[in-house]
Amino acid sequence: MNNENKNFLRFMGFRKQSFVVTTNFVHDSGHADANTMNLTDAADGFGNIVNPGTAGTDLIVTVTADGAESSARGSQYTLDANTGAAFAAAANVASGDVTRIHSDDVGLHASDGTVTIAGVSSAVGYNLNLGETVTVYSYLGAGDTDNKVVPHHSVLNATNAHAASTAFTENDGVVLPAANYLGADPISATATRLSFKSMAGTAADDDVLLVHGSGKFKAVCEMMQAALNADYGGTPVIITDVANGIVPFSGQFDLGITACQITLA
Amino acid sequence: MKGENYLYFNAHTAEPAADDKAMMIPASTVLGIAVGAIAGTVDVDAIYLTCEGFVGDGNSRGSVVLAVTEGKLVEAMDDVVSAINANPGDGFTVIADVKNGVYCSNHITGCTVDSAV
Repeated sequence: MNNENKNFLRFMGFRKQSFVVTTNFVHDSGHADANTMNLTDAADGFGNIVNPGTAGTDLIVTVTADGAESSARGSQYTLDANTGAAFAAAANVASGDVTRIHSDDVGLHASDGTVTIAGVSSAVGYNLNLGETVTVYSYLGAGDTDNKVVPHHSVLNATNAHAASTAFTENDGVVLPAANYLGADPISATATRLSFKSMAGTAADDDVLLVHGSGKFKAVCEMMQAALNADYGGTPVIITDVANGIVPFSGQFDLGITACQITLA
Repeated sequence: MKGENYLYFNAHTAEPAADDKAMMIPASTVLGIAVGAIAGTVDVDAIYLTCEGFVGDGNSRGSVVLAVTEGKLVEAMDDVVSAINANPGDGFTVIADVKNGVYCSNHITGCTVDSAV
């Protein structure tokens, strides 16, 4: 029997990974170079690292300080990225400061997911220190000019112009037919992989990995059943749009989705 | 009996008269729509629709790159889905017709067709 389900499901990608600096300039990412992190393609990592974007302009990178550090930040960084409040001193990092790194100070390898933050040099750069947390985000529109997820930029636009992201890929958003849904796998207590017939028309499958609250696999399955069989009058059923705070079915399934990693075959 | 909608794409500014200038596909063969111009290729103003390949080997796809107004990728994807599921009287659904300037979304501005990727 043919599957005549005409629903379409929309998944917006949202990739996020955090690193704690374990010793000065050496990170739990496994990368030993100064101010450098390796994004990892895993359920507890960033997701697809082949297409993280093409430049630092396609990411948002923040550093959360766990203590005071002198002369560790370029003088262009004046505002806390979470609160929008002015830093007590631009160059001297204080405990709790959240610094959003300007795209000019973020390097992104073209294909291996290596992210580098430029070291301090007068107005620019940031020197990472022990105990600080670096968080990297990618989603449709992420970059200096977007404040949906991180509400403020630490560098005023007038000081150093904010660059808009211009590099979007299938990892940022996809609409898939419900009829092509193949199944759900519990990859871990906090991650469920949804498989679909490939958009490429090949035998391999396309995967959408949902990172969610612990022990929510059954709830994810119940949500998917509702989505697959929903009557939305022909419009797409939005399953994930983390950046815009949209959750499936207005949150009635209490999934706690924090990331959506899209990997097409 | 109306079976299903059939989706029409014409990438050509004239009447299509060669391979990959245009195509019509059953809506049920659509495999998905993704952000970006093509698999793994970044883009700021395009979405990528794929369908089952015309060769019928189960191991290929047809594709349409839809040019979209920058900043309206999501809206365009949603509009295409609504068009796919619309109920026109005869089932003939124009997604993008460059020759006649007809698009199913105000955010779509053109298309490129490839019937066998």
